[in-house]
Amino acid sequence: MVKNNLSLMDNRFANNYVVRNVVGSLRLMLEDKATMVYFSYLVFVLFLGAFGPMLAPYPYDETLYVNGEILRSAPPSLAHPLGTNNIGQDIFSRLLYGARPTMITGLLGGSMIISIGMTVGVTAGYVGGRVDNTLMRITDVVYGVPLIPFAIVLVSLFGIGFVQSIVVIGLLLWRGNARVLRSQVLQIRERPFILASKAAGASRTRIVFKHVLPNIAPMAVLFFSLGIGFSILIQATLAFLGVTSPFIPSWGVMVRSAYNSGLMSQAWWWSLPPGLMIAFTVLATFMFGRSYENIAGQGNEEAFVQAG
Amino acid sequence: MTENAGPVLETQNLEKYFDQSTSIIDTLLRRENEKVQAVDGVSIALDSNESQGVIGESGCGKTTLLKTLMGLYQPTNGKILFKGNDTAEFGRKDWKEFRRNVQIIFQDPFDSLDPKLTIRETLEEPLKIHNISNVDERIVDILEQVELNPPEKYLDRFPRQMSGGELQRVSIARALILEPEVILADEPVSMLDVSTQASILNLLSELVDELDVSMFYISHDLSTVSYVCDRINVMYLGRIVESAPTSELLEDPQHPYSQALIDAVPIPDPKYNRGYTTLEGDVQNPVGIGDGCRFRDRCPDRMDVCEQTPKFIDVESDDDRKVACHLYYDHPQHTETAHTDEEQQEPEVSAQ
Amino acid sequence: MTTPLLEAENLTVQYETANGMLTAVSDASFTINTSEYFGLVGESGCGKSTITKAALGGLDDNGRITAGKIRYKGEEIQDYTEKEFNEKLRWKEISWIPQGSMNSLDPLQRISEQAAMIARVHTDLSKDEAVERLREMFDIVGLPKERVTDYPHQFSGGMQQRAVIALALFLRPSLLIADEPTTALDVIMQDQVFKYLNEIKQDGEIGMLLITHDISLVFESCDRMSVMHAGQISETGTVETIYEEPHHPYTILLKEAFPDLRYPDRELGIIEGNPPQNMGEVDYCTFVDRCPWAVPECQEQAPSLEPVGGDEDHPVSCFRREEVLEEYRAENETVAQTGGDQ
Ligand SMILES: Nc1ncnc2c1ncn2[C@@H]1O[C@H](COP(=O)(O)OP(=O)(O)O)[C@@H](O)[C@H]1O
Ligand code: SF4
Ligand code: SF4
Ligand SMILES: [Mg+2]
Repeated sequence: MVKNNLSLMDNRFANNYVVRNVVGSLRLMLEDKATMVYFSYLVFVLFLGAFGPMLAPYPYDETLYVNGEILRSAPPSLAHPLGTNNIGQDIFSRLLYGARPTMITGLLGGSMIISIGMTVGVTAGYVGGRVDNTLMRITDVVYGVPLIPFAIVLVSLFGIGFVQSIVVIGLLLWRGNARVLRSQVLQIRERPFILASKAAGASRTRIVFKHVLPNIAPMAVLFFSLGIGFSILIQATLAFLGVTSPFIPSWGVMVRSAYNSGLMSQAWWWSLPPGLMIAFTVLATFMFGRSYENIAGQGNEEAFVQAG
Repeated sequence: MTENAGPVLETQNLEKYFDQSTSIIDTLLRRENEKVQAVDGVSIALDSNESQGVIGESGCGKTTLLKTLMGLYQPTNGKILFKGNDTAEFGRKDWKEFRRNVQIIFQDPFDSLDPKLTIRETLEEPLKIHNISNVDERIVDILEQVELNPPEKYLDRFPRQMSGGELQRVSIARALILEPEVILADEPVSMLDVSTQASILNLLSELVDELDVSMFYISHDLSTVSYVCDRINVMYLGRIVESAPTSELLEDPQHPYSQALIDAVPIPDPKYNRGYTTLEGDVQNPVGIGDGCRFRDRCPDRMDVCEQTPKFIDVESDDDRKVACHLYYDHPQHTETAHTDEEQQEPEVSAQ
Repeated sequence: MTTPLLEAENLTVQYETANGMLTAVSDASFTINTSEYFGLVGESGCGKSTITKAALGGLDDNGRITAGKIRYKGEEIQDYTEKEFNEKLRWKEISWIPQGSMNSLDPLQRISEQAAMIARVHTDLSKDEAVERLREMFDIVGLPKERVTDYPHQFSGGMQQRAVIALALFLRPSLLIADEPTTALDVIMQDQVFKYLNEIKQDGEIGMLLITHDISLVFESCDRMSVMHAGQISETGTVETIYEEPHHPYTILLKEAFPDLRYPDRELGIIEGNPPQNMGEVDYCTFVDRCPWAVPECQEQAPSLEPVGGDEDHPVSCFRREEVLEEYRAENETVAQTGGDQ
């Protein structure tokens, strides 16, 4: 089945081991019903991220009036399926708009986390010696940095903003990835197939790109999806602290505004939908990454625990 | 690199020590960091077209020896000579030449091939590294040689789609595809089922006979080694304690440890009464073990003089055999000199 | 006739897998007599461990005995509940050294504590009595008595395996099931373990089912044996019979494939191919794809275990059981002769 799939692809593309591996595993995974559900949900959220704003019935920041009066905190109705907030904005529209910043947060944060983490981890693990020592010291230091104060310091330096909040996340959370990937690389590099390749005279670059990376790819994909989830969650936290731009209505910001308004308990239609969307999105990325790793690599409990 | 008619691969007094990981307390107390003496003064020479075995229990340093020979570990002391040239003086080009000519086969067939590569890709890699052309042709040839027929059936498979025996054949193919002069084999059949094991053993011994290769074969299992090797070296805690042609070693082992190893091999014959081993205990850790015969705490024949390191000497009746045991020479005149490793391991390598 | 100690009759065990019903053991029959050492030999995956697990009610969750009977001292046990196995059989009647059992000791408990716990669950021995018995067993397997209070990690691999054996024996069971007890050990360690197993045998109080892929070990230490291939029992007999008069093609070839230190120059026999995975009903000889003597019939029906040469104690499951050995010998005679002429 994996093979059929490959023959359809451009040969050069298929010959990239990482790509082949990812595509092959995806196929296998989607045979599992639960994974299929998570996957569909993620595709749906991505779709919202791309087209949500176009589908929204109202502009997200437009204050709506009924009979000259602001439509404050209206419960769900036909015209406003999720009601309105305390300044009369349509929640459904905001939810659709919010998919985009949320997705951007996830993807950007996730990419930063995995690329820094993987670069540090693989370099440390494979090069070893002094390089390893230095990189791991740095990682240890980063481990010691508490997230919230760090965020506040950075934001005070560079200003409050959407992008800043993502950078804060990316600059800190790679640490777990780096550690786990390093230990993976340490194990892989002693495995006989790597030694055999060395014995045949393979260069360091060749070994890293041809043997090490493809073999840690499953775990990297898992970490990437965990990274997406964490970025979304943490951005929601930062939003709560007010360390991100309140004008870009990611789902996190929406929950926060609901909270700040003090209407959390009455206007459930306001906080609940973005809250649920966050929860489901994070859950779906976790579960999806999990099932990818299960199929493409060996399941690894430890990876899950340490990724945070 | 200069050509040389002597052995293809040779070690002279080779040592490989590892640092033990030291705790902070050790450092604070300035404790001496005891080295793990994994390989301790090994001198062996492999002639072209010869197959030699190294046997011993696990933990006696076999795999370290192999990896050091392969250049995967830096020797702590001593020399490795490839066709008479010291590998310590190798430049880039020499290493490339060495890598082309010395290949390795590992124990675990399920971990010897990159799970993410097809068989074709695995076999292609060495050829690419050494810029060798007609790749496809060579791959097909080599698969036929290791009896994976028809080769086309296997080319696009992944390791997980193959059995242990088939995988080990691919490992052998990968080792042979560069037409090397030396093959190092680390317990290549110990994880295979008997029926498969037999075919791999036969394959290996045919290869040595027919192709122009020499082989170091490392194993804890004397019965498989003896099928493949012309000569056997018995290793105990980092040192070679006996070296003899296979049949002579099996018939008349000299070193007490060789005797014990041979006696412990079960014989597939219900009528044959072999008796059980009299040895007690098991292999120590090779950490800070100092002088003396390494086997002395288990040896049924130990004497006082065994507190000194025995020399590795020719067996009197037979200059093709060597043994390191006080039982085989008059010790009085040696006791003064037998103290250092330096002297004990170098009787035949005269200083240049 | 005396009742056998353990008896399997037309036993079939299946595992439910993603690809359907996998038949791990099909129609297997054998008997082990009181205080007899019985060997079960075959390649990995042929169903040896499955048989032992079935006999002890320890099958994996997806595994089930789908046909046949297992009797222990004449009593059918295949339908025993977990409770019955615990109360009537495990440890005090049948004890089990599972495959890879060196790692089965609890690293956090002294060996003596582990023994006391087993005794508490399965007998009414007091703690002191249990430990005293363990000390006796330590002596028998060649471990210093005073080390019963050690933790497992204080022992080397070989000693741990002997400690496991001591634990298996200290409640004086009538049957010891040892599944690949020495596969992880070096030759000398292995030999030490078998030395003690052999000494225990001399007392004549216990029978053993030895599961291994190493036919030499069975030849050396057992009285009778079965050879198994891909779920089917190929042949059963005394070790002498199997050694001298093997009648099943698999046994004949397996014997030839085995290295013998006494004859390092002999060419080793080869068995082509790999054992099949049997799905669903097995109505063929599982050796058919690898068998040089196969005839069409072997594809169509499973051969049952039938006495060979009228010897009730030597059943063989092969349609051509009366002829292959002679054919094989005739062929190899000629090979040997032509070889000798050159
Ligand atoms: N829990 C299980 N689920 C599915 N198949 C199993 C399970 N346990 C064993 N098997 C299969 O049953 C067959 C016999 O296995 P086993 O009894 O372990 O053989 P042996 O002990 O002879 O190596 C093999 O094909 C094995 O893969
Ligand atoms: S030197 Fe002594 S202790 Fe060592 S093997 Fe010989 S007799 Fe035994
Ligand atoms: S029954 Fe047929 S296939 Fe099976 S062993 Fe006998 S001859 Fe061979
Ligand atoms: Mg088993």
